[in-house]
Amino acid sequence: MPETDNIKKTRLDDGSHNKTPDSIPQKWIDSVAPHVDSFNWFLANSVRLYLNNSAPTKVLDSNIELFVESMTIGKPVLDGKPMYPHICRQMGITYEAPLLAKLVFRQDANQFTVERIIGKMPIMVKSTHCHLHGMSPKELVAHYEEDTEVGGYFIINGNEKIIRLLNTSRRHDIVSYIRPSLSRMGAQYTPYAVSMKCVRPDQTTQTLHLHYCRDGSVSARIIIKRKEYLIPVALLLKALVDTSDREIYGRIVQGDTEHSMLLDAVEIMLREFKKKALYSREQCLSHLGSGFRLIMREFVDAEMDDIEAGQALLDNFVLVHLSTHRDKFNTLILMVRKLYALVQGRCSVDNLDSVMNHEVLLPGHLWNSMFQERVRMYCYGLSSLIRKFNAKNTKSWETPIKKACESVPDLCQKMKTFLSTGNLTSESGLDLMQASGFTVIADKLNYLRYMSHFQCIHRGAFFAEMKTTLPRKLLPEAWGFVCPVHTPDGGPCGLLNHLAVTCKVPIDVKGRVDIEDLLSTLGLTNTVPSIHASIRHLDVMLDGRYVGKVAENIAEDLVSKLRFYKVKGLQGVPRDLEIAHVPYNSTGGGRFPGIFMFSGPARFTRPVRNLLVGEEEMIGSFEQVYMNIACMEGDRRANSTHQEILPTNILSAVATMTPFSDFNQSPRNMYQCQMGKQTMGTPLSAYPYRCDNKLYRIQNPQMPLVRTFGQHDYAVNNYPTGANAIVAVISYTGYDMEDAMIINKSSYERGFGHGSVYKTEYVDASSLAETNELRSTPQTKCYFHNVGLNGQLHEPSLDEDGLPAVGQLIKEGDPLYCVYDPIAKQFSVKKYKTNEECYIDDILVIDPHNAHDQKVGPEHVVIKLRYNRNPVIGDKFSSRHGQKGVLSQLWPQIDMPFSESGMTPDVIINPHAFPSRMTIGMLVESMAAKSGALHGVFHDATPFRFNEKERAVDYFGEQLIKAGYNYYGNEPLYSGISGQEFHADIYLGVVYYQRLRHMVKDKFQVRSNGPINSLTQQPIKGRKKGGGIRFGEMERDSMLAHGTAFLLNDRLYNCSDRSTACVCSRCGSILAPISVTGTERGEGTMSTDRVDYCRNCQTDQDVKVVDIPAVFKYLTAELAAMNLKSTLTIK
Amino acid sequence: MPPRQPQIEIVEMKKDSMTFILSKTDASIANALRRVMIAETPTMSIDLVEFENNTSVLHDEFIAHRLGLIPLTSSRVEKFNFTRECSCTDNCENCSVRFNLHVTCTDDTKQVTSDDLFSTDADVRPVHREDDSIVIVKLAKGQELKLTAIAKKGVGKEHAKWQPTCITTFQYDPDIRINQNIMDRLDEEKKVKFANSCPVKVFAYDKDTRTVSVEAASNCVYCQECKFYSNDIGHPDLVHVGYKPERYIFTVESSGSLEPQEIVLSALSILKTKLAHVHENLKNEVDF
Repeated sequence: MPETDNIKKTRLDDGSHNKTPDSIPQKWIDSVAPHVDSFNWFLANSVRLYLNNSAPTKVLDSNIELFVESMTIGKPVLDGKPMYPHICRQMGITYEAPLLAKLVFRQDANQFTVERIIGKMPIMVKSTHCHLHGMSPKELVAHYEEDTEVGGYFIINGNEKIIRLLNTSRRHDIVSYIRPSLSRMGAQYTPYAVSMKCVRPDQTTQTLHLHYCRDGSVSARIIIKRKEYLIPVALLLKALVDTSDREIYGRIVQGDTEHSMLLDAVEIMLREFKKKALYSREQCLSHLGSGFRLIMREFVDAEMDDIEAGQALLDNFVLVHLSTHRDKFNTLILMVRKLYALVQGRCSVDNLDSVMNHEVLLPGHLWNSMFQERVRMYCYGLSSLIRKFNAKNTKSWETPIKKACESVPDLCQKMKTFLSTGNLTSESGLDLMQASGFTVIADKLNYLRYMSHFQCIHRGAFFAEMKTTLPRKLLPEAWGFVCPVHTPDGGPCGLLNHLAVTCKVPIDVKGRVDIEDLLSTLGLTNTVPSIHASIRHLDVMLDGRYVGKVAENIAEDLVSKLRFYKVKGLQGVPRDLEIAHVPYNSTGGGRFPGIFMFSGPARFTRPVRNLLVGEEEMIGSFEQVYMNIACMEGDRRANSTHQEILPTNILSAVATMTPFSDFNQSPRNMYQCQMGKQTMGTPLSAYPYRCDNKLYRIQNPQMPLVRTFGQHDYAVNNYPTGANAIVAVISYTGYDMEDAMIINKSSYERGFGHGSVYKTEYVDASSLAETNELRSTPQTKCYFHNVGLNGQLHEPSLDEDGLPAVGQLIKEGDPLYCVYDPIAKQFSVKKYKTNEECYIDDILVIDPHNAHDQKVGPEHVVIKLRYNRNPVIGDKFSSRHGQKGVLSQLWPQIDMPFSESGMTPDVIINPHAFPSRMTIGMLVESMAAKSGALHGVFHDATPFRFNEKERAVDYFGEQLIKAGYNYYGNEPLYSGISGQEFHADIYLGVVYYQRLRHMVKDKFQVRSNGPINSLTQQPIKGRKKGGGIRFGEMERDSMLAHGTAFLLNDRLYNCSDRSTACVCSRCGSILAPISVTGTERGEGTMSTDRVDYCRNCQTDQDVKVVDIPAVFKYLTAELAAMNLKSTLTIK
Repeated sequence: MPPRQPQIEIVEMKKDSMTFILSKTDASIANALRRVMIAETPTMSIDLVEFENNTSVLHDEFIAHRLGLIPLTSSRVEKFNFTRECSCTDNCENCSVRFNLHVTCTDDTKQVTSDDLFSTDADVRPVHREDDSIVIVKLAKGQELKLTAIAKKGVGKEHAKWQPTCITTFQYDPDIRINQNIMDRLDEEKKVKFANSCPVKVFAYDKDTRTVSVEAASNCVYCQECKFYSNDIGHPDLVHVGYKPERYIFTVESSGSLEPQEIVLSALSILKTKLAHVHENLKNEVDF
């Protein structure tokens, strides 16, 4: 912290606001990088990956086959012109680019090519195929975007959609788990298992599980098309390479001769397998092939023999990330060893809920998996259509193909559905644990909320329904990768997390990292171990491939040398290589030992300072657990090798915005993360060019006087969310009880908290047409129009074009627009039905080009409505410390307390808001902002800047003294009503106050009379329909407990379904009496007077009128229908 | 004893602010004066705006609100009626002033300021100080703002835009006394520290006489720093910080619509009228 004497402008105030910046803030680009970069990876690699990996599709019952020769993804176009994102947002259409493909059809020696657009691919904004890619802020503004637009989302039907990041299990790592449910798989199964998620080059995954059986053998479980298959692991091992039982035995045991259980188990496994009488590798392969060839039909041709089919199984479903069978064999052996170690208790079970064992499912990777599958399905669809059309037309083989090409559906249709609904429709399930909830709307409520969508990472819908709270736990492994503060409370708590500010996810698929020679020079050996090994060795794995072993005593040296090369980028060691050295644990606990290295994409990585080299190093979530990283300077110990760059790096972007968050009780910071995202703020600057369903805007926003470096780095002060209010902490008037707050009426009148809400209505003129005729020609289409044949306006309050004037005030029942139907030759007027008055903010005509004759009116318009939402009593406000309150009274300025300098507070809050919540940060902010206002500086409120020796109170207290104020921020105040000084001095300062989006106008529900349910006569429910609020059982109980019988009667009876009914006191029925005239009764009299007459007793003598609840009558009718008679006794 | 008569003593008088001491009265009268100055002194402010064209980035209500908050010179406010009391049906020149504003931006950007508001009445104009006019909205090239605004007479009670004051406050006149007996016994360092403990320099230390004296009692903000210091050194009675009863230091800062003395005089006459009304009514009651 700087000395008190030199109060100067810090970096926090570089005047960068309210100017178009020269470049987009790096932090913003970083925050969307997992989205944009992974989509760019898709754009660059998807076609190549498909073409490398595809085989021609055969048309059944013919010798035609087809394949894709090439594919190109274009750039978004509309009517031959570049389509920019703002057009899509305003017209409510999808930002998509044509997918052009060259399809080749072959019949014997003949072949011909069809070149056509096989689909429209949604394009992520700001990806390389987006028109905005590489634009400068000025150019972006010229294209009606935000000057700092960073993209990362798709535009689907005008909505901005994001594919959420998901936590998935880490690839290419052997994880052990114990799950009691596994023993239910079969009689011989136990809860012990290990698994490895393997990833193909196209980022599709295939998980291999190994299960421990009761007899000591191991069986492998693979999943093909969502079905599970179990194979003895000995069969797999023997099918992979030519090997002997001795080799397998030796490799698994590796000198561990003292564990007799291990020896027995391996022996049994091999012995049991002998019973199958499969001796050679060919026999094993053909055994596998014969069993699986029908199951994996896509990979096995009819011509292939069983051995080849067995090969295909091993290639496509067993450890798919490895190319050679020897690698697969070695890695499988290591998996078996880990499984045995787990069963024997020589290593502990891995925590699958820990970030250490996680990676990120990136949007681009998911999108690519879907794309690969869709292209395959497209070819299948095409081939079955050709077959269908071919049956009728056998003369020319080209005609049915052309016909099929015309009628095959858009390749990307399912992908668009995926984006708009978030539901995944896939044959294979893509090895994912959920089928829905993949996408969310990028809600632009305020900038914080919008930004947090991109950093949000979900644990998966599967875990949300789980009863156990284990996956929700905040584990120490998450340090630095996942924000401990920024998670919602309630349902998704702990499952919906946010990446920390410096957490980066590598995107590039590097392929094989070639460092084996280097490892050999550092001590890696690759010899087949003898059964009686003398020194302990550590297994070394690189990206899920067993590369050898290293003697335990030199392991540490190897790792530190490797790490040096990594940081320096020497010897071909990638800078983001993850080197986890898991040492032997003599007590038998801990993770399975070894050196595990990862270079693949989608990992959690973050920078820390390497103290030995003195440079930044990217570390992964696995290796972090086995490293010694000091946090602050004073935390360094003898064995510390690394240090955090900044203590705030553990926080997410939103959490860094909370000023002095290190002074607050931790749950308050969590609440603030939620509330910051509910603030009615400035979500964007391009209001006129947006057609969002709902947009909020505040009218007199200010930048906070007290800010954090997070606010500076993320440049959120260009999108402010509140105002610096003078806040007095005092119990005054009683209107500030229970978290209510009082606002100075004059402050309100000067604009405090003023805001508006924008809503958008898309209107199609034809929707008002009364007839359902087909309106295919332009002449028959309805259009907006308001001038009758006589030249008079049909609806006087609307303009000639049938639309209201911009700026016009519209109240409930006013005409909103007028449409002319050329077929029925009549006008129809649509009225505005909402009971809140609004202004017409803007009207846009969004007809497609040349869609309508210039002479008639438009067919499609967007009407933007503006609702005035200045604060009213009951609206919600909050400071930046999880301290929310409801406006309870607009108090006249003259009655507010005033200080000697003449200040009257804008906001009064009750001192009781502090003791139990312990939001000291708010008190510090109050002092800091007060001194900042007095000295004309913006104060730094980044957490962890102060400590016990250099206290925040002293720093700001000194400054207050300098400005001639009380050290602690107290001031004598005078009552505005009596003019007398208060006995106590009052804590008066400046706090940044935000207005939350929860407003009374959206929530109030009140009724005296209103619609009722026709069956029960009781008030209906629902705020929209003007219904009542349920007075339920618990409310009834409390009335009973209070003995307020009259109130109870009033609520449940008088104000509900009180009605009169006729009861016959002779027979006691309320169903029998009916109201009839004498004529109807057949009495012969011509009387039209109605009489209540009992049909049971044939008389009207004893029928009495009583007051009963209407449902009671319904109940008796229902009972009567079940042959139950109800009798009332009338006294 | 003659009846106590309140007195006013002007301490400082500037163009836009004044400080005076109201004495020989009590807090209720002082506060009544303060309240009337804030809430019941009439001024003129824009109250109705009719937009002809607004292509600026701010919407109509927003601009109307901003126009309302522009202070208008209201020294001749007495010549206007309150609209609700005026004999006209809607508004007329006896109760309102019309303003015209028409700005089109032909350059890159242009600021629409209070100088662009043209009044139909020379007495009621936007307050203008040096070259500091109030920005209403910033226009980009091609944007236009055309409107007519009607200013009416009103009081701060109704809406803050009619308040003539920025700051209107009073404080008790501080009564600070040093116990010189104790002070004499302190060493020089403590004396200096004591004098410096006050953030607003109420005390002065004289090097020559080695005494601490009360130099500017009226600066005191009752921050208690001197009390804290004297407690720290173990002499809680070293200084007495109290206030003189019946003396109130008033500060009135004008928004520009009225001059500070006009505000005070206007407030006093309103108070007087109010009392006259009470007197009148009471007399009528008694007569019956």
